[in-house]
Amino acid sequence: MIPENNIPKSWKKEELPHKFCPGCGQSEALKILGYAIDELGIQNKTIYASDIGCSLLSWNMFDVDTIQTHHGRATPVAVGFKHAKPEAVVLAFMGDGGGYAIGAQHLINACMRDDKITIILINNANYAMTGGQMAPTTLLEQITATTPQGRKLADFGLPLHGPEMLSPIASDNAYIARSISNDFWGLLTTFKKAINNQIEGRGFSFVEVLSMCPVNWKTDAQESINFVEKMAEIYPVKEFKIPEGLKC
Amino acid sequence: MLSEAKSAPSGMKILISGEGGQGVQIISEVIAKTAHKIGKNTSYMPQFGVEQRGGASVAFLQIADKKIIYPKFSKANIVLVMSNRSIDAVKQYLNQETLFIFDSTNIDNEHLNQIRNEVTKVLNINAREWALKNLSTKVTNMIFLGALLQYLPDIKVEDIKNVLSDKLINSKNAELIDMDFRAIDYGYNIAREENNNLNGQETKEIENISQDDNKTWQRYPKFCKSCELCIVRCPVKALSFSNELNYLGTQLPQIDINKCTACGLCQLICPDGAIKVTKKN
Repeated sequence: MIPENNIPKSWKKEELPHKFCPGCGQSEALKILGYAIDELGIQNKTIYASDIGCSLLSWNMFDVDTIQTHHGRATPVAVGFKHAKPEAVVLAFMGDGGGYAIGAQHLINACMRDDKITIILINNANYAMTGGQMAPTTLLEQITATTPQGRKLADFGLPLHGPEMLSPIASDNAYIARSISNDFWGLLTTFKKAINNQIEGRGFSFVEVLSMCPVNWKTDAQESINFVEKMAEIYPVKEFKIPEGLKC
Repeated sequence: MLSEAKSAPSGMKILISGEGGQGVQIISEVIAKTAHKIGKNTSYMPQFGVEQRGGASVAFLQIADKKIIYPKFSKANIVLVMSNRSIDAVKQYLNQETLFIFDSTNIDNEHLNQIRNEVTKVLNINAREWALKNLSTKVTNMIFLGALLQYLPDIKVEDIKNVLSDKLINSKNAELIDMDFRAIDYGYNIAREENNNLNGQETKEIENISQDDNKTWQRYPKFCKSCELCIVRCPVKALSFSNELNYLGTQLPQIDINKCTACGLCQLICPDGAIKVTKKN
């Protein structure tokens, strides 16, 4: 069943066209997040916290209350808001740099404390806004602005697998999954599960979204899709932790 | 009118504005370098938004015989706009003496109405459509560069071409230099004929492109960014690029309605929400 509207109702239509580059996977993921907010009917109680990086370009995308935070601090700000107003649905949106590098400690601690927030993390294998430098999630042998010979195992170690890192320390009430921005229905279901876990007051929810960055990968549309599918072989797309009794 | 602009007493103050990526800074840099080469005092200052791709990109350019005290200015002799959004960025630099150069195939009347009372001298050139038809939309900025040279009598077209070919000497695309030169010549020639026509495009928000008894396929030219995802992912290959352009100056998709099965995948995956598919029962 195709949604009736080509633009989610929770998007600010007057701010379109949005600021993302052509073919950006983040804007695909945010469109699906918009449909998830529409379907769950939570537009008037959602708080959207965005990080620094390409993720901040979404600051005027949603017609919901929005907080813009500092580098890597979307998680603690979202946790603080949730403590102050437990009935709000708090979404923290960040990139792989914000979540796995500068803000990694907050992500791990929020997961250990089982804070009842939903974190959405975009993994596009580089620092996109600053020109495509190496990120914790850059694949081995991937060429970026700071690894012109490719990322080497001996120098930089293995790429970081976020959900795999969080699953062992998460409680049984946590929902942890990885999805891909190209898969509309799969990602919509994942978002709805992650938000429902928070609405039902169960626990921590975390979704990593594999996403495309055609500008910094220097790929056309077909090559971007091929690249993100190659990423999905290294970062398996699945649900790592599902609490009992979670609604879809 | 032409002569008045040419004989501005305190040098030429030029403001160029467009979307990031349209080549605003390249043409400003080439003009500034050429003016410096022929012994003029010149100043060029780029200005674009904070830490963000896209958005309006503005270049402040001054060429004078006297010393230039400050790189910015309050009113410009020539204002060149390449996109709708850049009109907001240049509004405050206009006065009755300013020559306003714009591309009528690219700018909407809705935006031109904001400045209709403030400008009297207008040069309306058809750059983008000509570039798409004859060369490539990549060289649209060079047509504007050629048009500007008509108002900078000290700078010869040959000087500009020399500086440009020095700049592009290491370019991978050797054809680009030739295309740039042809675009400059075209721009220089059409700017001779002035017109005072401040009329742009009447673009509709939604275009009803194709329909048959069972389905309608609509697109939003103001949202589409030509990312090509819909064309690549269409399961029946019903989509392709058309010759019409969107707000960024890149090609819009079109549909072969006979092939289309109204599966709606293009609507689902479009990151910009620029496609709408309706299936009738």
